[in-house]
Amino acid sequence: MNLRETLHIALLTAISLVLFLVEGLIPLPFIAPGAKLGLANIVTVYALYTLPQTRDAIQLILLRTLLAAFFGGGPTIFLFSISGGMLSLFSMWLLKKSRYFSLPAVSAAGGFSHHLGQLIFAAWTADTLHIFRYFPILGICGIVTGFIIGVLAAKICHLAPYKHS
Amino acid sequence: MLKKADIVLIILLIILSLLPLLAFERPAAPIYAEIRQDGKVLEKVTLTGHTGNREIPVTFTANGSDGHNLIRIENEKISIIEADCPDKVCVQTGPICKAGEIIACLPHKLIIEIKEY
Repeated sequence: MNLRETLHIALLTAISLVLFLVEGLIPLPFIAPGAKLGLANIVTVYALYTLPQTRDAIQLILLRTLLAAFFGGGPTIFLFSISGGMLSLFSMWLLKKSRYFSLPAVSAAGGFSHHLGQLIFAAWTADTLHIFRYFPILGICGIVTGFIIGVLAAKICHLAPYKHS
Repeated sequence: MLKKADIVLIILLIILSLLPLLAFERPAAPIYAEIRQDGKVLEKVTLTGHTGNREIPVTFTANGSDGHNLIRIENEKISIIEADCPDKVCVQTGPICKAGEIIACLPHKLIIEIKEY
């Protein structure tokens, strides 16, 4: 990995972290535990579509989630975020690779699987499947917010200085 | 622009989201009745699986006067069958048996609430 790529990932991580922290300051109506806009994921989607390798996007998520845990959240929130983030990235990568779907739909699936990942982790730690009672509301929240994030990310991807895929 | 495949994908995701509604159609959580007077929990009675009749008299002193309620649990239902409060709203409420339902005797600050474990 050359310096240019390293810097690019570092910069995107910083932007993503700032978006994550800024979002925490915006008061949003409480819909369900864990449901939020996920502004930081604009950067995740952007990274998936513009960075040369998928492992760059994985690095970005790892770094962002780890740093976010330091800025308030702690180890439990970290584990929740990382399970959501990784499942989300994996499913978006898969859908993107299939080339059947456009960016907002891929991102909607990302939002959906982010909540799915978190709930799977929650069900595993709490040892009860009743957690999935939250899934109808959370899944749909994820689809809606993921779609919005995808539309925004698509606009930003058009402005990307260089594209690899 | 959204393609046909995108719309199919999103509809599929919405259907997947709603699947747990079918799986959890009948919430099987056991319920209990919590009897509170002036904020203090007097008794907790498990209603799920409760059989037979049981009567719980509740007496207390508030503002210098005595109050009396008679609570009756019949199988999985709980009610107040007797009270010497002025309005008798608690008696008229009748038996309750679902989580979230409540019987209140406000003059006596007596609350019966059904909760899930």
